[in-house]
Amino acid sequence: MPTYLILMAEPDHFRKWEAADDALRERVIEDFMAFDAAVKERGTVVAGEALSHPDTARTVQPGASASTRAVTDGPYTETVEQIGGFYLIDVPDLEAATELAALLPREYVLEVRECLDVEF
Amino acid sequence: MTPADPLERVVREDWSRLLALLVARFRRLDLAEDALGDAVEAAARTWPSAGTPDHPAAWLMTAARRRALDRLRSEAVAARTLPLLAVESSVVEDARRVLADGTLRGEHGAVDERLRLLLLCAHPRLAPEAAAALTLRLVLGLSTADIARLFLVPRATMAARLTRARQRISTEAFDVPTGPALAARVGAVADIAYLAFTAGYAPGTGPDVLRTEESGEAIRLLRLVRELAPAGSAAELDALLALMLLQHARRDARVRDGELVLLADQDRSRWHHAESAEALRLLTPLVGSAPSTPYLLQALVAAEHARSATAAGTDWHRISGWYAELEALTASPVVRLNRAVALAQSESAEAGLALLAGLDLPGHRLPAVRADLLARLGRRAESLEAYDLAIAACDNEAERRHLVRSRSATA
Repeated sequence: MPTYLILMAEPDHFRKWEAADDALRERVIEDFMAFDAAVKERGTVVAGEALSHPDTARTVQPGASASTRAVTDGPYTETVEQIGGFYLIDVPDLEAATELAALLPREYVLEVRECLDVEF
Repeated sequence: MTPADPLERVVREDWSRLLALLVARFRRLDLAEDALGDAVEAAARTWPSAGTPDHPAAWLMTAARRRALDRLRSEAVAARTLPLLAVESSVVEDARRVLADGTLRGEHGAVDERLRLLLLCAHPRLAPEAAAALTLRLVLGLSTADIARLFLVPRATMAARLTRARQRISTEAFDVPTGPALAARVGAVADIAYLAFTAGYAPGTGPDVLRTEESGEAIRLLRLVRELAPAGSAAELDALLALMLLQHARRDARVRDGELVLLADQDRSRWHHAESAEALRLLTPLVGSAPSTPYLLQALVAAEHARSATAAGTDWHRISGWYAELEALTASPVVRLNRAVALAQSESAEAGLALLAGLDLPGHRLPAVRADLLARLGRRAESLEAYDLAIAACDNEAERRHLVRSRSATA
């Protein structure tokens, strides 16, 4: 079964979560649990993590050698859309992965991409 | 004694209520405790500069609730599902309402939840020491380091013990049993309070020969139990509170120059007489009316000491009587030993010694008492032999020095 990456993004995601009331927060948590249950019916959740604020990120820039590469604070691209978390799921095809991604909280933009299957 | 720092004060006064509400709402001890801990930490960071909020408890509650929801979201994404306590849905709803309200108005629901929390910590699945540690942590909000100091174990050991205890009861019921089961559980909470109390008076080393401050916390715990427990348990809890107050009132006289001072040698002017007086007031209505229980009888013994202005004036005859009743009730060899000491005072050393015949008790106390009584009867060789046994069995430095001094006085 192929593996798919689902990236979850939302404009101004972290401030919105901070401002969310309990009812909204609980709905989001329930969406994640529904997604989890639906994936398990058709495949496997390989991994899933919520990420901390992009302010806490560091970006390593290209460079001639490991020691000369510049390291900057913040995400690699400053956009309004912030990546709040990701999943790796094993499901039969892109169709299924896309359908399942639609179960995730409705506020999010979701990028669904197949991971390359490298044989060892 | 109320701490001046507003955060310390709100933690002291409202910790158990806030935690109980969070446990009722989220059905998880670890989540509730971490969320409240984070909220207290955030308050310590922000209050000094931003100023103390108008409603400190409500501030902590809101911060803790949001922290818990944050963590639940991360756990949901990571597909980690953790076991939940069994909580009636009406209780979850009540707690949800009180938490979302943002204010701790009156006592609505909260008293009930605190009782649930107390009873959960006294769950029969937990060993008494684990239950006592968990109660001090969850109900009083004591730090793991303080609890470790109380029970004389390393901090990491106590942290592991607390984690195991939380896990053990993570799927139990957050409820209030009824009938005899409730009485039994309240009795278990009382035993926990007393265990925590006596741990503070187990001689330690270094600056902590006694840990009287933590023992004082155990009294605070018992007062909370009395406030919340059903009326049927009142007599038992009053007797225990009296016992603890009477023993605690002697704290300042128990250590001199880093050494333990025995009851007979204590400077009685250093006893906290207001506390003894409260204990005597609690006991007065119980004598003759309440059933004789081990706590009541022990309290009555302690009361005899408190009533006497000097060691010499002690009514040992009455004390022997209470101990005889206590021994009939418990068949405990420790009680027999205490009764022998009392009888040696009220009748004769011979009568005391006779009570020790056939007694089997590990540790140094039995040979120490025997040695003392034999010395009083002039049986010097036997006395020295008993002192040697006692000294060999004693693992507390201060008590051993005391035994060595007594032995030299006999030799």
